[in-house]
Amino acid sequence: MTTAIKIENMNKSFRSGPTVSHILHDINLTLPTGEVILIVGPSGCGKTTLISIIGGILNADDGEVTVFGQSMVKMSGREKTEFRKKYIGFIFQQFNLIPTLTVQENAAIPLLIQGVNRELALEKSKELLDSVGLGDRLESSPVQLSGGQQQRVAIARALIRDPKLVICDEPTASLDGPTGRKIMETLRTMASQADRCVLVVTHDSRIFEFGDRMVKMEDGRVIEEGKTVEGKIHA
Amino acid sequence: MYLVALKMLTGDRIKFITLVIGLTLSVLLITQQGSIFWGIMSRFFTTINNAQADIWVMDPTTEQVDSPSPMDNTVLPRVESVPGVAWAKPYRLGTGNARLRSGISRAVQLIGVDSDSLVGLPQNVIAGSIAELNTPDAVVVDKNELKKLGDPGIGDTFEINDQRAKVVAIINTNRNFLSLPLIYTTYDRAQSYTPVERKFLSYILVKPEPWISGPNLARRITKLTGLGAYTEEEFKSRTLAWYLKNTGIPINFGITVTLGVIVGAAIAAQTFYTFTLENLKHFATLKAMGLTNWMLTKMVLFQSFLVGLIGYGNGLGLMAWFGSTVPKKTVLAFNTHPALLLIAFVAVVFVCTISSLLSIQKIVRVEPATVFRG
Repeated sequence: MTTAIKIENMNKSFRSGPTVSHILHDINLTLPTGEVILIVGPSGCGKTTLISIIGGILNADDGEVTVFGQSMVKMSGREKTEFRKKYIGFIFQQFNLIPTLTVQENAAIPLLIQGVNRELALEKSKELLDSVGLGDRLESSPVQLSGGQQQRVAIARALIRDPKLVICDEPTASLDGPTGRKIMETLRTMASQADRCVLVVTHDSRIFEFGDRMVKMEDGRVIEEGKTVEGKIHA
Repeated sequence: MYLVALKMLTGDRIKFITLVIGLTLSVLLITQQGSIFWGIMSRFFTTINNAQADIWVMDPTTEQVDSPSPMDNTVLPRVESVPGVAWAKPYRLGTGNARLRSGISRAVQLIGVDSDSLVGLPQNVIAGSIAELNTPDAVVVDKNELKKLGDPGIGDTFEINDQRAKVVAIINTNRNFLSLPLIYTTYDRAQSYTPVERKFLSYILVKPEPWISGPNLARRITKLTGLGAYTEEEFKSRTLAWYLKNTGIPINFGITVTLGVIVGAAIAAQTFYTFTLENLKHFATLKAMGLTNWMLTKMVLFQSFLVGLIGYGNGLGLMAWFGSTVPKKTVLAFNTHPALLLIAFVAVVFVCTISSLLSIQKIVRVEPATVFRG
């Protein structure tokens, strides 16, 4: 296992007029590859801000954030966009599928963004949708699918570029227990590859058992972090 | 990604159709009202079109074709003597009062042409023979306003200023702005129909020798005689300029056309902006996945200009349908100048650009981090 993410002395605040809100305080983390890492904590503790910075869609105020050996702090906006395109897959709580595209087209979008030929992108999309059990719904509209099926499309979309890092924001929040477990099993399979990492922000204690590692946050600080056994941080 | 943009655009049928309708109406208003405007403008110089003369010579105070300042007949030989003039023929443009067999009186436009050459008389004969114009009391009438003369046939008679007139031919001419019946006769007979005037000659129609161009000869005639002399196109422009300057017609139509652009722009920009706002989450998702602002901008421009192109095509189609049906059944003036197509296109580009800019600034500013806000 190597280091997937390394964060040193990182802070983040937001300014709204004269008011400055400090969201993250002095974050230090070293997260390895080959694991499903859960980031847990109460609402407003800074989990989403943390994954946004790791994912290169927000900038840290100071400190250092390194993802797969590349400094996110030193990257320009354009370089970050390029980095996300190459190395990161996103899974969102509300799936964020485009309703006017078919299931197959939705899953193919990251490849289309990368400039891959449409035929090849759709072919790859079909393979992935087959692997998540949606091979028979390729031409359906996302709105015709259940929540679980939509999240599986979102997973196929996130994995289609074979990203090194998958960032998931509450991936099971809108799903029932069994469906959520299936989703987590898929993510765990993906994370089991030595050079991959899956980062999951969640409130859902039902999926804690799928985490290899857990980062607990409170009031913008990391209060506990370590390997998990049966859904609890192993002391 | 353009296919994705297309599907995002057409996915919401109602919005897509509203956008297309907005631009279609805008283009239709611009081209249809513009064609009516140009149709009316064209009728201002119908007399010039009907006469088909290379050069028009006139009193220097004449500002437009339908209001000539009369000249003395003695100026004709002076013009004929200008080097480069192949021939010069008199042309009288005036009005008269026709009393029909039913007893009804009608104002008519009375045009006198040279009796030998018939220069200035349109040659599109529908019935009878224009060669008979030299027979006693002969007149030629145009078919467009024939009903106003009581639908006379060949050989029928009526009175012009209390003198007998006999129809020897019916010709097809372009309609004039006032929609007065056009009655052609010889120059001398026109003089006899008209109450005595010291100066009677309205215009001299000139043909240049082959070795001199129309504009050059016109300048030479002006220089040597002190008269106004213009080529056909110059005289049309002069007439048009007079009407544009001295009537409210261009302003009225200008307002309608401007409203067309504004209404079209408002509908299209508002609908397109709403479409963007509703899809903002998806645009943010695409940004998070690595789509650049430049590519997103190109997608929005593609969507906007595609709608614009469809609206432009539909608008022109409707205008063509209108232009090919309604004017045939009515006296509506309708003439589509090619420049109108360009103006409508520029208007569409303007509307699409405004709509796109509103949307693009929103999309470029959206933080991809918003995708994590549920």
